[in-house]
Amino acid sequence: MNHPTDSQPAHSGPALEAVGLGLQYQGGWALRNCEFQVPLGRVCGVMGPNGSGKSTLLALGARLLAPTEGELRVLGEAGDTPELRSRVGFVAQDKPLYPTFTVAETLRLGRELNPHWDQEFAQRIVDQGELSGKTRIGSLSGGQRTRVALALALGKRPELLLLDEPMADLDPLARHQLMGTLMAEAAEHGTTIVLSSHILAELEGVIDHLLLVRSGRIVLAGDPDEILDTHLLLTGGGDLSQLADHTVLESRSTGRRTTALVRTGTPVTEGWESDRPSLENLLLGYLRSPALDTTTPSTHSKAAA
Amino acid sequence: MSTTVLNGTVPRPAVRPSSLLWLAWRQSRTALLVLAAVLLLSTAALLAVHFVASGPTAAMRAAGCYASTAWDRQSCSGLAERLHLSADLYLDVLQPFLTFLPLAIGMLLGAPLLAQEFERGTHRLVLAQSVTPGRWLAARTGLPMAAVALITGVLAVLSSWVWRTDVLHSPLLFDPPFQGFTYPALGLMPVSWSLFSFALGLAIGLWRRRTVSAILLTGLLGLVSMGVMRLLRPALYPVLSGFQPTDRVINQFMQPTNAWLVEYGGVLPDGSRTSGFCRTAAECDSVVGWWGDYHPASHLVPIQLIESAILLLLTAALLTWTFRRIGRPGN
Amino acid sequence: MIEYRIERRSGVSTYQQIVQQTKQALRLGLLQPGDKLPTAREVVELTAINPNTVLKAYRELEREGLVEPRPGLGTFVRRSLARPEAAADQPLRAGLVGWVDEARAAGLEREDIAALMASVLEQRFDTGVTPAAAPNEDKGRNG
Repeated sequence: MNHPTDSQPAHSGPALEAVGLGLQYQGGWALRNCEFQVPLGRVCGVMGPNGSGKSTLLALGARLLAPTEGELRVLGEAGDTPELRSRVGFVAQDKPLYPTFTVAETLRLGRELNPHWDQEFAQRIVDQGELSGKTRIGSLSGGQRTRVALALALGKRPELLLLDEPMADLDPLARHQLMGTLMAEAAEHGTTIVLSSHILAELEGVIDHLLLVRSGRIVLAGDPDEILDTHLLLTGGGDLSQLADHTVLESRSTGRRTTALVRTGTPVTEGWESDRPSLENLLLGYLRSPALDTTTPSTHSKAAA
Repeated sequence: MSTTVLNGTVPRPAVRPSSLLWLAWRQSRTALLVLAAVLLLSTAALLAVHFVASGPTAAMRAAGCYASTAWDRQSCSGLAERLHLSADLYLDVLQPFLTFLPLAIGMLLGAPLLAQEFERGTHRLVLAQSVTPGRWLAARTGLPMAAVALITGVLAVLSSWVWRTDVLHSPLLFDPPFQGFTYPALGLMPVSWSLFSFALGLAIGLWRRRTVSAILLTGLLGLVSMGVMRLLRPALYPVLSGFQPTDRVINQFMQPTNAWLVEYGGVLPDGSRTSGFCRTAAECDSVVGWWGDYHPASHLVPIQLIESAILLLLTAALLTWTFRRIGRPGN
Repeated sequence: MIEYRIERRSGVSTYQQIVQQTKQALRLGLLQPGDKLPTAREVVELTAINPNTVLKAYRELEREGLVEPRPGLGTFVRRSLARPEAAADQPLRAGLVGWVDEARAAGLEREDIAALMASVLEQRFDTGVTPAAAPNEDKGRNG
C-alpha cells in the first residue's frame, strides 16, 4: 500500500501527547488535567460543544498559547522551536488572512515563509475553487477564504495539521472536495490531521481518532470503533441497581422502560436488551452525563482508551 | 510528490531574511509610499525656500543691506519683502510640520502595525508559518523603522541647512533655535522623536490590540511626552548665569543673541534676588542689577544629543518590551 | 477501475461498504483477476473518507484471499467471484428473467417482486434448508 512509506518522519512517538495539561485565563480554566495521546498518521476529531476548549487545545498545539500547567508535546517536542513550526500547520477558526493581499500574494507569503513550500499543490487547491490569483482576499466569500487558508496550510507540507472548525463556512460541494484533499494528503504523506468540529456529521467516516472535550476536560479519547466496542446501549424494564458493576453514563426512564448508556467490559444480559450505541448516542451521552460533571476531577480522561 | 522526501531527514533550512523583508515591505507598502511622498514634497519645499531666498539674500549682501545702519533704507526693505514668502513657508509651515511629523509617524505607522494584526487575528497567520515571532517582528518593524530614520534624517539635514544658511544669518528674520517650532525641526530632533514615537505606537498597539484606541492613545501620550520633555529640557545641561548692572533702559536681563533665557530677575541692594520682572515702581527703582540663567546657542548641540540619548533609550526599552511580549506565547 | 460510492447515513460502516462494493464488482465480473484497485489516496480524494478505512477494507479483502498488495505497485485482484452460472447467457439467469416476466404479467410491482424475492431468500438460506432437500423447482442455489 502507498501509505506513509515515503515520508517517515524522524519522530515515531505520538503526534500529540498531553500530560497534566491545563490552561488558565482570567475567568478560570479553559482546559484542565488533560491526558491524552494522538498517534501519528491519524485523522483525529476534536469534538465538543462551543466553548468547551477545542480551540484552546489546538492553539496550544500551534504554540500560540503556552500551558499554565503540564505540557502538550507536539511531534515529540515540548517546547517551541522554528524547526517545529515548520512541521506543524495551523488554521485558526476565523481563517485569518491579510485582506489587502491578493490570492497570489497570499500563496507567495506561504512560499516565502516556509522552506518546504509546495507551490503546485497549494495552487491546485486554489484552482479547484476557481479563484483567480488577482482577487483580493478582502473580496472573497467565507468559503473561498477557507479554501485559501487551507491551501496555505497544506502547501507548507506539514507533518501535523491542526484545523480549527475548518469546514464551518463551506458549502457541501466544497466541503466534500476539501475533505477529500485533506484525506488524500493523509493517505499519501501520512500527515496527522487534527480537526475540531461541533457537528458530528462533518467528521463521521473521516476520523479514526476522537477527543471529546467537555468543559475543559477530555472525557473520551481513542479510536471511535474501539470506544463503541466498550459501550452498550441498554433498554429494558430492569432496575438500574442491577448495573452496579458497570459505569452508567446516562439513563432515562419513561414509564416502565429505562434506557441507559453504560461503559462495560462484560455483556449485560439479565433483563436488558443491549445494543451497540451509535457514535451520536455515545457523544450525546458523554456530553450530558451527570457522572462527568466538571466538579469531578478528570479521572475519566483516559476512558476507554 | 517529489517534495516530500525532504521531510524530517534533511534539516529544514531557516526562512531567509529576504523573505521576511518581502512580507514586511508588502505589509507596509502603502505607508512607506506615503512617507516617500511626504519626503519628496518636503524636500521640494525646503529646496524652494533656499533657492527663492538665495537671490534676494545675495542682492542684499551686495547692496550692503546687512549693516545695521542700512536697515531702514528703502531699497533694502524692498529686497527684504521678497524674502517673506519663503520665510513664512519655512517658519509657519515646514517647522510645525517637522515638529508634529514624529507624532503622525507614531500614530499612523507605529500604532496600527501590531494593533491591526491582533485586531484581525492575522498574527496567528504569520505565527503558523515556519518563522519565530521575534524574527518576524524584527523584519516587520525593522523595515519601517529604517525608512523612518532615513526619511526623517534627510528632512532634518535639509531643515537644519535651510535654517542655518537662510534664516539664522538673515538680519531680518529672528528665529532663535530653542524656541517652539524651531528646536524640534533642527539637528537630531526629527529623527530621535520619530523613532521614539514609532516605538511608542508599536508598544501601545500591542498593549491595546485595537487600532483606533492605539492611534488615539499614541497621539495623546506622544503629546504628553513632548510636553514633559519641554519641561525637562532646561535641566538637561548646566545653565550659564549672568549679572548685568541696571541701566534704567531695559528692565530685564538681556541674554546673548539666540540664547535661551531660562530664569531671570532683579538683584536688590542687599544682594537678594527677585524672580521675573519687577512689579512695582518702587521695586524697579530699588533694583541694582539683573540676573539671568540661560543656555547660549552653543548649548543647542549638547542638549539635543542628551535629549536624543534619552529618547533612544526609551525607544530601546519600548522595543525590548514589545519583543519580549510577542515572543511569549499566549498573546 | 472501480469507483466507490459511500453513503454516510446508510447505517452500514464505511469499511463494510467498500468491502461489499468490491465483492459486488467481483461477482458481476466488473473486476477481473489482475485488475488494480484504486489506491487509498484515489479513493479518499473522491469520497472524503478516512484513508485508514480504505486500508482496513483492503486488508479484509486480502484476508479473504480476494486481493493482494504488491509493494510499490498497489493492490491487485487475485480471484474473481463471478459465477459462470450467473452470467448473462446462462440458463439460471434466463430462468430468473422468465420468472420475473411471469410475475409482472401477474400484476406484481417492482417492490412486490423484491419483497417476495427477499422473503424467499431468507426462508431458503436462513432456515438451514439445503438445496438437495428442497422440493421446489426454483433452483435457488445461488440466490
